[in-house]
Amino acid sequence: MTRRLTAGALTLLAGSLILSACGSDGDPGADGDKEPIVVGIAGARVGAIANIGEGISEGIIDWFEMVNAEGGVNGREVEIVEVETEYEAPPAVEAFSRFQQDDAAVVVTQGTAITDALTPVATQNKIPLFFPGQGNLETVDGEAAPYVFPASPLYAHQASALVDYLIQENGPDTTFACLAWEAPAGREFCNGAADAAEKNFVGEVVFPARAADLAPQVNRLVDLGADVNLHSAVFGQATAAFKGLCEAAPDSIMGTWHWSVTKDAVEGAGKDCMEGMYATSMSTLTTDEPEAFTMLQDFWSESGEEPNPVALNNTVYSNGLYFATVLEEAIRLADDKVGDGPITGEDMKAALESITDFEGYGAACPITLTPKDHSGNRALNIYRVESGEFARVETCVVGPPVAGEPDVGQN
Amino acid sequence: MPLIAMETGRFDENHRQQVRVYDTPHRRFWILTLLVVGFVIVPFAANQYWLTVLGLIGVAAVGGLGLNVLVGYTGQISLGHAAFAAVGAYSCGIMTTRLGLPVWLAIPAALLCAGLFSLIFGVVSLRVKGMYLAIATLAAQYLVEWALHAWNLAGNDYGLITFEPIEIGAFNTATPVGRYLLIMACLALVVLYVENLTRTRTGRAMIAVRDQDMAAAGIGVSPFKYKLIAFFISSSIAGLSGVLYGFSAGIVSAEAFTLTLSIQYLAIILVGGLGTVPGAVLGAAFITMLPIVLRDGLPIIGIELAANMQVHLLSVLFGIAILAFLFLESKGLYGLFRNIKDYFRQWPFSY
Amino acid sequence: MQPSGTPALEANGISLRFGGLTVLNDVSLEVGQRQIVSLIGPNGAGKSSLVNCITGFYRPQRGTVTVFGEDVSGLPPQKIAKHRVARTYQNIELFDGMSVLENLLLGRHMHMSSGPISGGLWWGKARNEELREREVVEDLVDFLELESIRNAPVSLLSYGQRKRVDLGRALAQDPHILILDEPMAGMNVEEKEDMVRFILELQETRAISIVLIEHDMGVVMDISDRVAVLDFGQFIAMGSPDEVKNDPAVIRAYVGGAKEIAS
Repeated sequence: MTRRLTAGALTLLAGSLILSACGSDGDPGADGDKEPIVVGIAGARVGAIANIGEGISEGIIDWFEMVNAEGGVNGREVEIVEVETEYEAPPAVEAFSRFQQDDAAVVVTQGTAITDALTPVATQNKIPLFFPGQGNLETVDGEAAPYVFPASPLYAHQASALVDYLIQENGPDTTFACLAWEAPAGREFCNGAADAAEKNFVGEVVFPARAADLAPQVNRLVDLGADVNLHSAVFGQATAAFKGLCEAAPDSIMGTWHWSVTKDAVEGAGKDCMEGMYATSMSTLTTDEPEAFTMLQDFWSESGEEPNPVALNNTVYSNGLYFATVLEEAIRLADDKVGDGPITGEDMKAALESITDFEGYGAACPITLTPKDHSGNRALNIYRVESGEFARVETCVVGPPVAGEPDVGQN
Repeated sequence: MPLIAMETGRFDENHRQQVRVYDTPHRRFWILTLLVVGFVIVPFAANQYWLTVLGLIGVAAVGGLGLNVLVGYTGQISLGHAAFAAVGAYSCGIMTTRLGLPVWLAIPAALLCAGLFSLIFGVVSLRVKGMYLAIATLAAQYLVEWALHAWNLAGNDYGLITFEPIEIGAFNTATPVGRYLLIMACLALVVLYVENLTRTRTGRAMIAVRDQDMAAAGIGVSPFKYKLIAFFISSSIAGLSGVLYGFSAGIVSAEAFTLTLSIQYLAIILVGGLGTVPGAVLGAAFITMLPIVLRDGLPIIGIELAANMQVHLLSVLFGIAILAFLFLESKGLYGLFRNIKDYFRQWPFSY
Repeated sequence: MQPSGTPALEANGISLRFGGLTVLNDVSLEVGQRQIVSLIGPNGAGKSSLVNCITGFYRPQRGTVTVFGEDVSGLPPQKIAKHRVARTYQNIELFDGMSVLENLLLGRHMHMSSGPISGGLWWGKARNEELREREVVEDLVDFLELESIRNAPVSLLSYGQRKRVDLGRALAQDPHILILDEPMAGMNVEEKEDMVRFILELQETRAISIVLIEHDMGVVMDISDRVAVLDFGQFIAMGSPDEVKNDPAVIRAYVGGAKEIAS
């Protein structure tokens, strides 16, 4: 039995190696006109930021499915290649190498940590990384990090806009406290809140990435006695944070960043608890029917496809549409310049940097990128939970300037 | 091909012939071929994608070889191997970027740091064995993860340390070929070191501690001393794999050294073949290639899986592979390989 | 054989208790240089426990152990081994992951010096040492007739072969005191004769003092200089084989075994 097993195993091993060697060569484009442009997605559908990964990836895939069905961008097909990273760095490195192999012109990354891990190889190989809604404040500076594009407000901006809005709503003496996810992204959000609230910021409490129970941290936060309790948790920890705050400080106002604008959180913490909770969002949620989403819905009904359930169940999908529409604009600008030839990473970089006053078919607040300013957009929508649904209460708010932001000459 | 595999009568005439690691003409031929292919042919022929993948396999193999010294040869257990890789990576990064030390000094120093740090947890092995030692090494993992997040080791707010490329003449680790050669050179050195260790006094003493720690004491081997030596060597090698990862990615962050990685190292040596050098390399190749094969190979035979389904399937396959090797072939992939080799060795005379 | 000068091994007043159970009660034993002293007694009498106390595997609550006049009480086994004390084991306890040769070379551990660095580098100290020690161990391989199995993994050997390797490993240490824990257990007549031959040759050619735990009365009475009889953790008789054979206490202890003793 061992002999046959070993022979079989050897054949299987050899066969799979051969298959994978064949498989990793990119496929040529469908029709012979223009070479397709390859967009790589370093996916994160499994792991710490799973609901974020799913929402963004699905949004991008759906949008470009529609675009391709209608002839592509200026007749050029957009090919999406997604490789799962599980929000871990070594698979991300391999994924990037795969994208390079496929001649990708731009790579969408998810998760600040993955973006950081890929920045050196992306810069070396001149393939821009694209990651709206994530990333370090330093990535705003397009001259310091030329191939890194947050193309959106950063976490500090979100906090700044939210704090500013809540002070206007509740008075100049409103106090703030922040529960920070220990990852750099979470810390940056609370640092931004501290900067914006200045002397009205009473303190922050940090919680570890894998803690299942946030009770100790929530209690310490509530002891600070702030009027507004903000947090930068995601996924299950977000739900735990909401629940804990509702129990310990039922009269306080809760606020969070755009990753916790989710139905899971509302259902998990309960409608009563979540009533009146504020959150920022860089994109317009699909429930507000931005033009981008109605275009998709029309496409689905015309082509007889089932609407993607992720679009309706995962609020992060709207961020995916933000990614997709801005990318499409960049591809269009690159194609206008390049004509019939292939689009390289450098072409995409230049194209991104020439985006001016683009609104993503209503999915985004107006964004203008320059070679110096890779954020291009500091404005956020403010949402509030009302009767279990997310209602937009303010559109495209810009908060006060954020401390520590590189000066890129934005107005 | 069978002629090459057949090894007919080996008559060693003196001890010098007996102690050679690669003692038959056949083995020497294969090793030479491997070296030529690995260091001469591959760098020229392979595209950058495969150079990157082989590099990742190399880094994993170095880590696996390190863990093998502790688990395979000395019979201890460690669930915190990634923590020691992190210590190596961060030490090297801090020394080069913040302290301005030259690379040829920083790398050995980083290995030393990783080894010394592990001794703190190795000392626990004086008092406890098995499960309890496993928990102590798990503490190392959690401790290091916490420190990487909580302490500002990198000197910036994001906990990232960049690794500047090494440039020696035409050799530059900023290029895929340069990275590949650095990793393979280190892998070759580690393989040589570990092989040498097992045919000399120290390696034998470690295996003795694993097999019968009482009888080992009876022949003058202090089990505690050799467990500490094993911890030190194992963790230094892990530190090297962390350093190599830093040079291959250009940057290190806490996310590269999670508990998942520690478990992966265990899986590498279990699947590859516990206590064998080729086993660590085979296991590393298996673990690195399996996701790639799933992702690229399945669509060719017509199976399209969503990205998250691929990940789940991967986990299931890993689990099955580990169970299969535990029950059917306890010597892992290397044992499988030797069975195949033996089959050909006897062919066509297998009766 | 007459003892000469300092006793090779002295155990004085050894008392060993495990919880409430007294295993050894104020036991004293002296082994003169180049003597063969046999420890006999029923199962559970405490023979292996006494040996474990002498070699540092157990720590007696009371008593001292002296090797060639030096006090080694309380030292761990690896330190006692450095005093040229070697032993075999009732359960053999070979290093199953290695070959016969490697097990023997491990017996040479204390006579070698290469470490993690020189060993890893191989060329130089470690290589010279390996070549040298293989020559040394070759004599043992000849002596114990292990030539044909020298590279075999010990886990594949027969019981008798494993016993010989166990003895080889102990001899490789080049000991002055050799403790053999039931070296002939489970052997057939031929294998026993070989073992006796080995032991006698050792005593003659290597000036080793031997402590022998053994159940085969014929062998014990034939080759021992002195016999010590242990029962319930205490010596009930000690003296020359003839003295012990005829000791009424001993006969009583071996109820039904009187015939064997008298052989």
